This record gives sequence, C-alpha cells and structure tokens, in this order.
Amino acid sequence: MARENSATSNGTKRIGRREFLAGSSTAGVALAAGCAGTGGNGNGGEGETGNGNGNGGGGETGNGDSNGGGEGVEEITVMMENVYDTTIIQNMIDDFESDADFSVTIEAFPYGTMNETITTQLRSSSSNYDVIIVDNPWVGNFVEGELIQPLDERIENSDSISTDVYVDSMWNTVGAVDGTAYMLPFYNYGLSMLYREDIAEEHGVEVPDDGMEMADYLEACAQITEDTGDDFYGAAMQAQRGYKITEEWTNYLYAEDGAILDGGNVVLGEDDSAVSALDNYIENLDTGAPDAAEGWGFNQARQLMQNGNAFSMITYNWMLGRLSDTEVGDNLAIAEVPGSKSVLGAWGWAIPSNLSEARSNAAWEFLEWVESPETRKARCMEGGSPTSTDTLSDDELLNEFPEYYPVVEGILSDAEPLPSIVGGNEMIQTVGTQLSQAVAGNKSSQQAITDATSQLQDIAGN
Amino acid sequence: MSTTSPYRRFRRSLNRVYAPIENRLPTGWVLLTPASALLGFVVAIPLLTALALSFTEYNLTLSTFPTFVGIQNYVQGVVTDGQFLNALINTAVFVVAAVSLEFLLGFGLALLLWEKFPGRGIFRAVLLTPMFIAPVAVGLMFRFIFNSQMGVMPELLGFVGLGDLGWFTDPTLAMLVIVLGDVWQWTPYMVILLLAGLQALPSEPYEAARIDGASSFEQFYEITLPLMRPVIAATLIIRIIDASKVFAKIYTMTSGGPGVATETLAWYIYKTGFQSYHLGIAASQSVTVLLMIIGLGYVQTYVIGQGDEYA
Repeated sequence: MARENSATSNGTKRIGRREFLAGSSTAGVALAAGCAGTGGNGNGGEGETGNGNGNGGGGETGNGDSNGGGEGVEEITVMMENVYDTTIIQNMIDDFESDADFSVTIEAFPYGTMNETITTQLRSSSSNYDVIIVDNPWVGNFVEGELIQPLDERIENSDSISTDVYVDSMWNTVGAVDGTAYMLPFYNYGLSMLYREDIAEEHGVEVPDDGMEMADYLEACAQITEDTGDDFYGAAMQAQRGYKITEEWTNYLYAEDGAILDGGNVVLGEDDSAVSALDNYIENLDTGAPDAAEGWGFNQARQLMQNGNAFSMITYNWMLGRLSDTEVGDNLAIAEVPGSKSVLGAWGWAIPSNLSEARSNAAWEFLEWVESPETRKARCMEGGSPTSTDTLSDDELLNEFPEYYPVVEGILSDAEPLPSIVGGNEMIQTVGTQLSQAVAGNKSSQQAITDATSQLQDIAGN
Repeated sequence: MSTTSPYRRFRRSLNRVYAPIENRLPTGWVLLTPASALLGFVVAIPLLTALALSFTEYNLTLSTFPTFVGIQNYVQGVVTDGQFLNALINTAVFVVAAVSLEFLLGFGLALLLWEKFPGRGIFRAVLLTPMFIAPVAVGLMFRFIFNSQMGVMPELLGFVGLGDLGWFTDPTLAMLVIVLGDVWQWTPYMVILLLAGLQALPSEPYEAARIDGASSFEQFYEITLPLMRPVIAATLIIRIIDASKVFAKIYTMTSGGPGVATETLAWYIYKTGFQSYHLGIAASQSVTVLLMIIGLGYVQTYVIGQGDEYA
C-alpha cells in the first residue's frame, strides 16, 4: 500500500516547506496586524479593537457608551499648535477639569509637523485625538473627505455656543462650509503691519491705523534702508519658499485689488494685479529688506524685528503682544497692512469623524467650555487672539488693549483667507514655489504668475 | 522487569512530538522563520503596498479606496513632470558632490588613521561624533552657522569681504551648504568602513613591494587601491543610496528653495504625498526612484568590480 506523501506513518500530516513558510508568513502578518489594531489610543482605555469608520465607533469593545455625554471616557487628547493661545488654554485647563468627568491632555506640535500628523490620524480607523485644530488651507479637503464631523446639531442643542457672535470672516473661513458648521473658530492670525513709531517719526513716515498706501510703504522702506546704513532695514520680510512667501505676497496682491480665487475659480492671472504685486514685492525685497530675506521664514524675520534692526514687519496681529516684552516693545505699534486688506489666517476647532459617540460627546463638552463666552473672554484677557464680536466690543478688553482691538476689528472686517477649497494647501505651495522662482531671478514676474495660474487651474479643475 | 524513570518517560514523550517535526522541518528553516516574518512585515509589505498604490489614484484626504488607473501615475508624476526631472537633477548634483567629497576626505583620513601615532584613539573617537547626531539637528546647526544675522560663517567671511554672501538665497550656495552639512556628518562613516578595509589588507604585498623598492605612492596606487576596490565599491554604494534619500537637511535648511534649486527627490515625493495628498503619484515616484537606485547599484558594482584582484 502506497503511503500518502502528506502524512506520516502515524497519521500526522506532513508540513511542506512551502506550506510552512506561507503559514508562518501569514501568521506573522496577522500577528503584526493584530498588534496594530489593538494598540489602543491612549484615551482612557476605551478598548477599541475594531476598524470602523464614521461616528458610530465601529468595532468598540469598551465601555458600552453609545449615547449621552462623555460617559466612560476618562481622558481626551487635544491636538494643538505650540503657540501662545495654546499656552493660555493649557493654563486654564484645571478650570475645566474640576467640573468635568474626564481629564484633558493637550499635545502641542510645531506647525510643520501638524498637517501630515492630523491627516494620517483622520484617515486611520480611530483617531488618537479627540479634538483637533484645523488651519484654514486644510478645510476644503477635510470637509470634502468627511474627515471632520458636522456640528450643526450639537450647536443647536448647546446652551453655551452661539455662532452668531463670531466675526463673519472667521465664521466663513473656519466655521461653516456651504451652510454646514464643521468647526468653531479658535483664533485668528490675520496679517497686520507692526512698525516702529520712533523710526516712523524720525523719518517722517505717517502710518494710519487702517494701513498705508502700498506705494508709500515701498518708498518708506527703501528710504529708511538707504538712510540708516547696512544694519537697519525698512522691512523684515519672509520670502521663504512655500507657505510663507504666499502668505506675505498675497497682502501685496490684495493691495492691487487682485485675488487668487473667486469662489472655486482661479482668477489669479486674469488681470495684471498679480504681476504688479509681485514686482512690488520683489522691489521691496531688493530695496527695503536684507538680501537674506529671500530665504527667510518667520523666525528670522521676527529676530530682525525684535533685535531692533527693522522698521516694519508684516506679520500676525498678535505678534504685537509677543514682541511687547522685547527691547523694541515700547516703540512698537500696529496698523492694518499696506493697502488695508489683509490675508486672514484662522484656526478652527473640530472633532474627527473617526471617533466613537462617547469620545465625540466628550470632545464637544470640551469645546462648549473653551468656546463659551466666559472662557473666550478670559482667554482674550490673557492676550489670546479674538475671534468674536462680543470680545472685540467688550469694554474691559478694550480698556486692556486700547490700541490693539480696534485695529484687529478693522483687519477682520475685510480680511480674506488663502485658498481654503479642496486642494487649498497644494495651491498655496504651488503659488509659493512660483513666487520663489521669480524672487530668485529664475523667472520673470509675468512667467511666474502665468505658470502659477496654469497649475492652479489644473488643481482646481477649471 | 525493568522500570522507566519519569525523566526518561518525559524525554520519550518529547521525542515523539518533536522528532517528526525535526525530520521534516530543518532547523535552519525554523530558526529563519521569525526573522523572515519580521523582515517580510517591515520591508516586503510596505514595498508591495507602495507598488500597488502606484497604479491607483488615491488622495489621502478625499479617497476612501484607491482606484486602479494603470500607468497613469507614472506618466503624470514621472515621465511628463518637469518638477520630478528637476528634483532628479538636483539629487544627482547633491549625491555626486556630497559623496565625492566624503569619499576623498574619508579615504584620506582613513589612510591617516591607518598609521600609528600618539592620540590616534582619541582622534578617532572625536572624528566619529557627527555620525551620531540626527540629520535634523545637523540641518538646524548649519542653518544657524550660515545664518546671515548671527551665523559664525558670515561673520568670519566678513573679515575677507565675503560676509554678504546669500547662503540660502543663491541657488548654488544653498546647495553647497546642504552638501557641506552632509559631508560633515557622513565623512566619519566613510572613514570607519574604509579603515576597516585597510586594516584587513594583507601585509605580504607591501613587504614585497618595499623589497622591490616601490615608493609610497606606487604602493598606494598599485596595491592599496586595487585591493580596496571591493570595499570602496560597497562603501560608495551604501552612501549613494543613503545620500539619494536626503530629506531632513532640505526640510530644515531650505524647504527646497530658493525657487526649486534644492528640491530633491525625497522632498518632492514628500510634497506630492503629504502636502498635495496625491499618494498614488507619490508612490509611483518612489517606485521609480527605488528602481533607479537598484540599477545604479548594479552598474556601480559591475564597473568597480572590473579588473584584477589580489589572490
């Protein structure tokens, strides 16, 4: 009787090498996948092992907490940027925790690492973060990809959140998209012009609160640079390729009544405003700023300003407060950007879609506290960035910041964000790359704008 | 009547279980399995995933599932993309400049350390320090060293009238700073590998050469270089592969600028995948780069492997 190849004499099945390898590989992968799936989220041991997507908390094996508040949640994690407004909230968090059933961990990241960290978290089966902050260029993609939750129902049922109080520009940028609320505005980083009053006086430069004319600004920067010698400049500029140059240059574009988008349509190269703005920008880099500013980012420009080596800097309005303690603080003043209309930078609070109901509820409980009128005002009293009409018109705050608040109100009244539609981030990088090439002398202004327009149209699908 | 001890009975039971397995599964395979499974998980699966992704349209924020698009990503993101070509050229310039300098300096230092001299151990330890610093930190260091406001290099060059050089605004100088950062960090690596090769060389050929009256240069050119060829090939291949992936220094020093002057392949792929969210296209670019590096490795091994070897 022939013996079967696959079995031993005592009936034990023989394992072929190939079968063994296949089996062990699969086992290895399964083991590893299992580890990945049960890695936990560090949020109070909800015990998630599934990979569901959406708001229902697919695959939860934890604390049976499908409805009602943040029951069963012991801790939430909030992802934020390491900026001053975050520090303010970190200092106030005890007030919230004393009344809440869960604790709050704030993880503050440098800006450069936030986009990919947040995106990969939102794309995973379950986010490690219960609350995230969203920069306005990411809004289009996050909403279109259904990565963040609509908040209308929660807002409607809330006693402490009213969206009517937010300044329109803020609400339209990091609040509602196509009539649906996805975020609550957190803070603004609308662009302003910080300048040295003593230098302005010395050189006979008049700076109205609502901004200089662009031509006057360029002339003043060039004149101050020429008059003061090598170590002092009219403008601390930041023409680093990418976001920084796009952000700074777009103020010059607005001063020429230009725009990058109109709704979802690219209008950048439709008239000569963009080329003219780029010529102005390059002129100011050449005649009013240090040569090295062509490669500078925020930190280098701030350094020049706070070391007392520059007359002006187009930067975030809340930098007035951050620079007030430096040696130039006493002479520092704020005005709207030249041309008056500025780029609106804005962050909004959002709740990831890939959270369970219990974690979403806990996240909302935190948002109700942090965006309540009392907390908003308290944050502003500590120097936080205002986003709402009630804080901008609050007597106590106006007394505390008499020069700052009226200018911020003016900035927010007509500021416009960089592209926030689907592909917004890509558009900003694309424009920044083309602008940088023009600044470096590799392209003419006209060619850079033509190329940028063409690439933006591809991205926007126009 | 013989009695069997409990221990023997236990051994016999064990043998009954393990003998069939040992007969059919060689020990080598068994020992290899955990490492193979781990390697498969951390290398093969990501590679195969990237390969599969490269034939799909997949937007990190918008797509739920990748959609098969054939070779469209390779056409759009590699063949017809001028920025990819620019990044390829920049990477080639960086690799050639950085690895050449690292090799020349590294070989020189290795030859120096091959000789015995007082303090050689200390010198060798100090020399290796840069290798242990993270590339991000090296990038930041060089950013500060060449910072026009407070950098030590512009300050020193100021004494000879070169203080105003635009280290991060001039395309050539920006690339040069990145190359210098890489040379500073990775020359010690070259030294380690080349010195190990030198110390393994046989002494007989040198003794024979000395008897024949060969000069030091002749010994170097006729004996050291040919014998070191395999070590040099391996060292260069490792460094070229590593240098082609330069990312952290670009990230911290120039962000690819000014313009697109320092945009390398790794940086461009990162931009495509994580700033523009086009993961499918980024995967096609990654696969292309991988194939290029594999091809380059083969060519280089073949070219340097030609010629006589000491036997």
